[in-house]
Amino acid sequence: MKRDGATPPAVLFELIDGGRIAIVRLNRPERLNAYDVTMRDALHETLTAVRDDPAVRAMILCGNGAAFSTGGDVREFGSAPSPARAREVRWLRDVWGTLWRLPQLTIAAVHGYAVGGGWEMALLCDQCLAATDARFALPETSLAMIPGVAGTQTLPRLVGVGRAMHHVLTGAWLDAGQARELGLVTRIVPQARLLPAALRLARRVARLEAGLFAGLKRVVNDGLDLPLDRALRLEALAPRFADGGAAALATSHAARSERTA
Amino acid sequence: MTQLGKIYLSPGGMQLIVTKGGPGVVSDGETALLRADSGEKFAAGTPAGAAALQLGKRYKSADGAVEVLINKPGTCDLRYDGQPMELKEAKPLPSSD
Repeated sequence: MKRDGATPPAVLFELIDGGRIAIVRLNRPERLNAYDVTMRDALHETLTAVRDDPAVRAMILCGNGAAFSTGGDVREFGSAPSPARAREVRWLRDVWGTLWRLPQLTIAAVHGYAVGGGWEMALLCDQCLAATDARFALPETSLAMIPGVAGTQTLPRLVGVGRAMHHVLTGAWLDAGQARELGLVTRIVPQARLLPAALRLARRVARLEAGLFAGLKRVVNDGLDLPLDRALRLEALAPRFADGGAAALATSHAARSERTA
Repeated sequence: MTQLGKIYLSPGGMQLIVTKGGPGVVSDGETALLRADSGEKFAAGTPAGAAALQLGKRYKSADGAVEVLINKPGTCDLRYDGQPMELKEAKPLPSSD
């Protein structure tokens, strides 16, 4: 799709609700949002912009066209100058680490195919909502590759080693219902209601103080990598309220008292 | 002063966040941008620059010491201490696949 002869951006970025919610749309619909160098650079630029904007409370990641994303563009496979350079590039432009470490709520709104790196992007988000037509798979192993968008790390943490290994080794497909049964998808809706459902969730979190959600996310994510006794200490040491949190709690208590009076 | 973490507004509706601050003034041409938390407003008819600045883009001062991130698109002739700010572009890197 060309506009006035110009190449359309590989990622569309908008801020809504006074800048509190970011919508990031993968935009190579003619390639089912396959991820190439152009999309990598655009996504890195966008994610760092979201990270550095203190007004943004939640980000929705979705795909334009018929699919969420079919992962790495196979036309670029094998085009890295060398394995060492490939590794260096992944360090220099760490898109997936940036996505994982975003302090905001991240919601993947998945429709159609979420394959390979496409599914792995969704696995890096805090929540995944799926349209009824969503399909997930990791076919990298059958292409003699190891998943490279963190799927070898995120999937075992979410579903356990045995199930994760099954999907990494066999490339077995999951439909939206199966993904929900495994806890990978929190809600399934018709495609027309996917973005509205993601927005509703984003707006619930956008009402919270920014520091409150960021703290919660750190406690949950960092705690998972710790032994339980240390994780409990992490929770105990976390600030109980972000700025304004105590006031919000007092308001909530007052409202509850009024209802019960 | 261009203060780190603060949001500034331009007469053309553009808004930016300072990601690297400095002692100088960030402006739209000759007009200093206003800090969003100052409560001040531009006088009616304040001229706005013509360059369209896009959401999510970063600009740096000529010496690279000051950087800003556009978080609301709009038009602006973006300058730092009177010198045009440059679009910060990522270093081209090859595929890692």
